[in-house]
Amino acid sequence: MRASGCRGVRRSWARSGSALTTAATLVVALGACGGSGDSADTTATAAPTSTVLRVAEQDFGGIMLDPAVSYGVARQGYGELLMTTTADSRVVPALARSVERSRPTAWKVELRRGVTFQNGKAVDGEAVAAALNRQLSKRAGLKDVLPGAKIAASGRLEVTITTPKPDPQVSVKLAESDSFPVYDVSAIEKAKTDAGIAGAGAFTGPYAIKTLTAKKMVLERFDGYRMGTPPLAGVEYTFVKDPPARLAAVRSGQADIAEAMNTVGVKRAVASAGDVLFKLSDAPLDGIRLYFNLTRAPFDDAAVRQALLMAIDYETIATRFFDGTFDAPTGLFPGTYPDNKPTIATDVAKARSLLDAAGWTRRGSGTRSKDGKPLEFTILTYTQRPELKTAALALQSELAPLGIAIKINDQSYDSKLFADLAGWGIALYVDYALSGTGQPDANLPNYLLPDGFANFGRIDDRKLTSLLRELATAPDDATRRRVIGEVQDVVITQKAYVGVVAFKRDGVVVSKDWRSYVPSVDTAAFKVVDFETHPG
Amino acid sequence: MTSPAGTASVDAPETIERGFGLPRPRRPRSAGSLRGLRSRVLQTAATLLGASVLVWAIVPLAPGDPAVATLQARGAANPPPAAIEAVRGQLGLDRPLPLQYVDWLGRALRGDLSRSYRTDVPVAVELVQRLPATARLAGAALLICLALAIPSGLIAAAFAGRWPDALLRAVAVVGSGLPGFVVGLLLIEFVVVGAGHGQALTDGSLAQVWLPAVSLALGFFAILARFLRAALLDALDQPFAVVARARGVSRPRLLLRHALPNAAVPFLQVTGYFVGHLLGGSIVVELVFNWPGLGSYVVGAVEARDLPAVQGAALVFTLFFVLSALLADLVARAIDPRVA
Repeated sequence: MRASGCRGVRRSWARSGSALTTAATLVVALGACGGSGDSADTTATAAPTSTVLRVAEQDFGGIMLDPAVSYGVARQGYGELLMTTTADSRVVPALARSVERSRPTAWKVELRRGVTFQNGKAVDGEAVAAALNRQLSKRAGLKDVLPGAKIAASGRLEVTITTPKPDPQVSVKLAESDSFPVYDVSAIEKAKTDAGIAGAGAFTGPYAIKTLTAKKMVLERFDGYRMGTPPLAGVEYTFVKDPPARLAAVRSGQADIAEAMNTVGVKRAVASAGDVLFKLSDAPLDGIRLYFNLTRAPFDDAAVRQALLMAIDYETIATRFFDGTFDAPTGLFPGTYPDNKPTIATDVAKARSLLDAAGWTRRGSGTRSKDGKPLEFTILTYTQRPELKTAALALQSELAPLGIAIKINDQSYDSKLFADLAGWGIALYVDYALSGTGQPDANLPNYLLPDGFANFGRIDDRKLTSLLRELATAPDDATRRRVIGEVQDVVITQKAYVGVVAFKRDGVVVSKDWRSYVPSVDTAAFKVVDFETHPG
Repeated sequence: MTSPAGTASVDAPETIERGFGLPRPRRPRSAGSLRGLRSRVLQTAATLLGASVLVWAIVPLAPGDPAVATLQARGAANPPPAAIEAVRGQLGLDRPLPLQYVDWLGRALRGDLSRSYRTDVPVAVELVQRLPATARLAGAALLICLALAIPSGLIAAAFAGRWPDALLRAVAVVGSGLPGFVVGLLLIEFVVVGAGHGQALTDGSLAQVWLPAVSLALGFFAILARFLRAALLDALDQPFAVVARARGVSRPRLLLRHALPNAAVPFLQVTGYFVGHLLGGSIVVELVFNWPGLGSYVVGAVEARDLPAVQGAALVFTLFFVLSALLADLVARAIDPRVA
């Protein structure tokens, strides 16, 4: 697998809104793609300005900067990955010049020439291998991602990753948003504290962390950035816990962008305020996945599961219950994923006949029943994701006319609640729409294999297990895509093991000076700032 | 309520004319005072211990896995089981809860409040960083409270039963019924966004303390004002006030020179208790204004089941509550030795 570095075209297009700028960007970027790639890549972007972007960011109670324990290093403009994922799910090189499979068990990472960390040290094979090895040894759970992998510099600008068994997904795993950022290991270890890391220039992104306190992180332009001079003079993150306070910050002119604002009601609040804008990301990141409890009636019957998936009016949920800030699903994956198979569709009449045929009949306007037992169950949701309660309420109101009675149990997240199969008929769970890599491969085993940690409904299907094993060792992309297609057929069309209620796009509130800002989903994580972010 | 001046002799006009309506204070006996102080210190220690047991008993009862919450607080939306298990081991969550508590208590007695689950920074360091901002907010709110409550209480007492009293009563009812965060949101909407004054996101400095402090103070000032009014009217009913009135002392002088000092002692004691409540009330107001104090810290800690952080903050709040009450008692004793 080899991918060329055409990064930068898509978002410039989306953000500038000017045909002339777009054309110029396209010409220059295409030129860069076809070039030798021996030097640090360059792409057209806005000219450097004195603007400092002020972001009202979520507050998790203190940011951690050591990539071995922190998440989303590539999200805020200071860190980068070797590979990245585009909104249409292509995995393309970022910091790497190329990543290709040299043998069935070996991958060669070629690095760009002339790239440095923000502290001036060269980003060479040794430095990159040190960062990846430190992640493998120190980051909890990462050894399972590349089990038994050996990573070593095989040239000045080359790293070789060797796996004990053939692993077709190594290049994709390098795009995983939380796993393998590239950083200066010695600078991180010398700094010891987050405040020390802040000034160490240990990363490679377009903006370097200057200061960090409990409530603020200040980034300044990294003039030596590989793609040229970044457009902004800096980025200032203020950590704000309360979403209304983030909104107020933009409305009062204290911030340009408020993060993580796709909660029910914000779009309407913004519309009524009129002085700021609500913007959605260019692709969904999360999915509200619906798990059937396969161990108990009524969902031990595939016909009932299929009927229920057909009875849901997804479009209404997305547009009315979620104000149009969520996407209605057409399949197991978002519509932006090229291999998504249209397997989900609303057909209430067919749902009724399937339920009747399965013996769940209805007298008058009451609840359906079978052998004297009513068709009623509990939907389990958790309070940390308020959208789940909204989705549950939507299902409750949509399925009631079909004679299906639903109770909702909304609790603080606890894996024990999901493990207690006596307590729920359907569980709703927010998960990556694809996975942290922008591809579904890494996530499918988690909820479809018998030992998957998110296999809440106890799916245990031989054919599915066999398909997923084949996917894990697929020798080429054609095989991979065929298997992913077959998985969708089994999971939705044939067995209806799980469903999707809606896909969630990330939402931000921006001031009018930033009207062209579009939240990006590079690296399968919402990226606040990157090289192309500029005002306008 | 009995005024401390309730026993003032009507045969001692010189005492009244001295202004405080009180007999000449005598120094309290030092042995009794020390005993009292020792008893209060022991009470404080017992309260802190009780609070720590309560926190360790209640927080783990809340649903949610601290290891998951910790990883989510670090930005991992869906942490895999291997990461959860690793964090559980790192944090010592795989040990029985009583053992965790005893371990924590042992370290706390040596001055080590453990490390935050979320940030791995010593809780004591985080508390020290955030305490000044909360102290500024509570201090400013207290000042505003007193600046509003004392004149309001005096006016209400001076015009008892008339329209200023009725108006202030109405203000008190509305003020005490309006939560601080609602006042904060209204101030942000109309003062910050609408009129362009002040900040929606504050930095913890004195320059930006006033809007959050007003939000916090409004609910409390009304209650304090009503309390002062009652204490003043009570004092005005005392025999020394009757004598003073009979001697032709003007009503403003009677109120300010005679009744107010007598009402000051109970008012001061109640104010002392309110300082603790101000700290508690600051939690939500800090969230609304993003004030970088203990309030926003403790909310994040509870959400993330960050037990050492919740525990540390609870200790600070308890300590402040107890100390402010103690301080108020001591000042009251200094003013009037009979308070003991």
